[in-house]
Amino acid sequence: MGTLKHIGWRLVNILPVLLIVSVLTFLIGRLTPGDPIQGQYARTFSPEQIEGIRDAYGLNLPLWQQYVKWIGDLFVAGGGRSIVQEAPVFDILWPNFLNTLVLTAAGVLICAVVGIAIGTVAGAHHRRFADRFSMLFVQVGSNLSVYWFGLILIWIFALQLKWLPVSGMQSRGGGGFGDLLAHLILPGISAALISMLVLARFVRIGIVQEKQSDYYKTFASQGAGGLSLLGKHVGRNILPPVVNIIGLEIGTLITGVLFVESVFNWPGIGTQLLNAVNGKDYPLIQGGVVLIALCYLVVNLVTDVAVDALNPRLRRR
Amino acid sequence: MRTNRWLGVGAALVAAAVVLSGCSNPAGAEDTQAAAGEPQYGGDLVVGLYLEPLALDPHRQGYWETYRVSNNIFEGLTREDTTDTTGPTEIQPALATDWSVSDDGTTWTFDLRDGVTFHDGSDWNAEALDKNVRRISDPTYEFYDESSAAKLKQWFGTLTSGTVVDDDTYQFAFSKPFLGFPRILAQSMATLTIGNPAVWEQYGNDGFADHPEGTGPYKFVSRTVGDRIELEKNEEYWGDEPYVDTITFRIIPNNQTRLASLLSGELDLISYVQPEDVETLEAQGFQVPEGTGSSLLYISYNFTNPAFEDVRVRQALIHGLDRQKLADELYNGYAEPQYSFQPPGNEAYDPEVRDFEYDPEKAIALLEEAGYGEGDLAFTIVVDVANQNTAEWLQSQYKEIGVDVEIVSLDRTSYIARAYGPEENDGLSLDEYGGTYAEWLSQGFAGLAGKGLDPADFPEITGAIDAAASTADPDARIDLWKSAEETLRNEAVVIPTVNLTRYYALGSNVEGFVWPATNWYDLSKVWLAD
Repeated sequence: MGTLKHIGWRLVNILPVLLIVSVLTFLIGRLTPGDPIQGQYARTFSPEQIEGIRDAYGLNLPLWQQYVKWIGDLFVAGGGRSIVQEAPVFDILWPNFLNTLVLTAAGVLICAVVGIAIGTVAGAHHRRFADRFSMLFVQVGSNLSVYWFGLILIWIFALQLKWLPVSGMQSRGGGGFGDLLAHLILPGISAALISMLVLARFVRIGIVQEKQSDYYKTFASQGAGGLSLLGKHVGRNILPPVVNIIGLEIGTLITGVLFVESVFNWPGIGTQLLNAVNGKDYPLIQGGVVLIALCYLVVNLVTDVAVDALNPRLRRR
Repeated sequence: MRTNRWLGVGAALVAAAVVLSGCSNPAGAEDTQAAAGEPQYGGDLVVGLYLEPLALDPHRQGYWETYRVSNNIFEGLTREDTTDTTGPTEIQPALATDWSVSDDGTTWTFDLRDGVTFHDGSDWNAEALDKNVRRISDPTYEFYDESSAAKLKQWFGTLTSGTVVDDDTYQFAFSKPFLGFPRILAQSMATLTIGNPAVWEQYGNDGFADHPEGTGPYKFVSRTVGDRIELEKNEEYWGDEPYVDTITFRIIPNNQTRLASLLSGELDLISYVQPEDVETLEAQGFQVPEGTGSSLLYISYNFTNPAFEDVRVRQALIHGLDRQKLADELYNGYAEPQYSFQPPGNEAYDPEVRDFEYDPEKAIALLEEAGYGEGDLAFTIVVDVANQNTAEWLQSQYKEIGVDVEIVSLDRTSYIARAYGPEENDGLSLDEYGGTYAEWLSQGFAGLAGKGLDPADFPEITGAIDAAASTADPDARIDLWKSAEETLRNEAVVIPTVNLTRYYALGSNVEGFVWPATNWYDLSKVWLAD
């Protein structure tokens, strides 16, 4: 019961945070230079005609009125209408948001599997060749730009070897699940890269520390095997911090995904928001930012609950 | 830039590998010979756009990338001849078969094409046209669209009435002569392209773009903003049967990714080829047709900066600019220098006219006369980050005539806001636009007003533009526009720079594509060879 109550309380707390986020995104949009009508028409229309179009879109109303209208739209009008696309904001964002989730999930999976694998190998062979080699890899990889790394992958695997497609989510004429997976591999790896290497370091150092602890030395002296010792005992002890790191890295990963989407033309929310920012499409920018903020908050909450569940010492009564 | 070059080198390596190993490239050079046969029907044409198109609504739409999609769905009363590569394009019948104007130039009568249906099967007739007209001009109409009306005001602000004469005849009456009307009707944005009124009657004005319907050769199937737009062949099309079954437009803003997707065969056609990629593409057997759209890149002054009140300063900055060198160095020669504000392909374009030729000595002398010695004149060039290299190039050019330029490089929206709301010390900003209609001059000039130019300060220009726009003499019209352009040119209110001569790239199996002397293309004539 206590846990449920705690989760409920955390959920309630999300609301004021979202409110603050909504006010900030609204104000940042309005108070920075540029507006959607000017962006589209300044080259060919006279300033008076542009004012007329602005009126038609309600952009000359007092700011507070525009804000209140938008908040209302969030609940009843699909997030308001995109000024540039002339369609309800959530209709535009939703499919792209799901695509971003797919890519993020692939990234998290690759990050967790490969990151833990590298970290474990390195930690288990502390100061031996495998450790030094994988840490060199980690060191180099951590300094790559995601953008550049993505282009390298395209060049090697799509243009030269022709194993995988360059861009998008589906081949000509559409394809099944296999086609989607083929499109997911390169962007997934690019998205996971940085977080994966951060995770590898944490896992490695976690294992190295555990290996110096008394319980480990005792077990080892009694002849406990390497793998079962790692899995049963070391693994359990380092699991909560690892989950914590993964939770934190999901945030980094979402940010990375926005770049990756551009390189691989993954039709996600990042591409969408970039377009919206370029066109200063207020309702779309605001809707997108609120959606992403909501994601962060939920991921945070889920991570906390998971860590609590994994670590009895943190459990609340 | 670095990654760009790098990808170019990479692509060149791939090209070399393909040639050396003799392996077959699906979209590569070997198919070229097999292609020159009879046109074939069928297949899916995949087009890579560099910008997300705007709403697919005939009266709200803007941007050429939007029209490259939507002109497959919507048609106008007239159309430009999209097989003409030199221009000015001829105006051809589309949803109207014939048209005539009253002697005083104010009243246009259109005979409408018979036997045309919208994509839902409903009839195209004078009543349907009337609903289109009322949507953009009649506040008493139930589906009057304020947003469309505001956008079309430039051409329809002087419309006094639209009248259904009979089922196949319609009359537009304007308060002033408007001889440019038929060509304006064939344009892409802020004009009366025809949509199916049944759609806004059912879904409302805001709902139209979700269910776009017209009379064009392709029908709308689906759209995912940020990803793709899918169209299918209109089996009932009144004109020549289009070749490909479906057209998929994919939106790929990243230049390198769009190029790589074409190279890998995922796309058949792309827009906005970068000058540094032309050689790579041609080396691999891709088509990069030569041509010119009806547009130009131009530099405009910040008229709120007192330095530019002096015409000598404005002239000096034109004399100080070597546009041939700009085309050669910055665009690898895939651009042509421009000297007139009317772009190539425009009906009033004269390729012979020259403004102020490259003459740094004269530029320095003019600046001296205006009171600026070496290093006395300093200002900023405000650019979109995508044009940073152009700004750097200009900076070095102007250094040679003793002008100090500082570069302010901004993201696209901030750039537009700053360019059209300049700060005191701002000097120049960059734009690209144009069209085949002579009236473009008045649009371009109106745009300069947004940069602080007060039209009242240039009565000769506004007078010449008004005279040309509202002449009732068809024989004098083009000459009047030419003379308006000359007036504007002599006042040096804008610096024309170049226009691009490579813009689209196609796979080797794409046939029938023409880059016409306008800013879009006709995909209904395109077919795919095996």
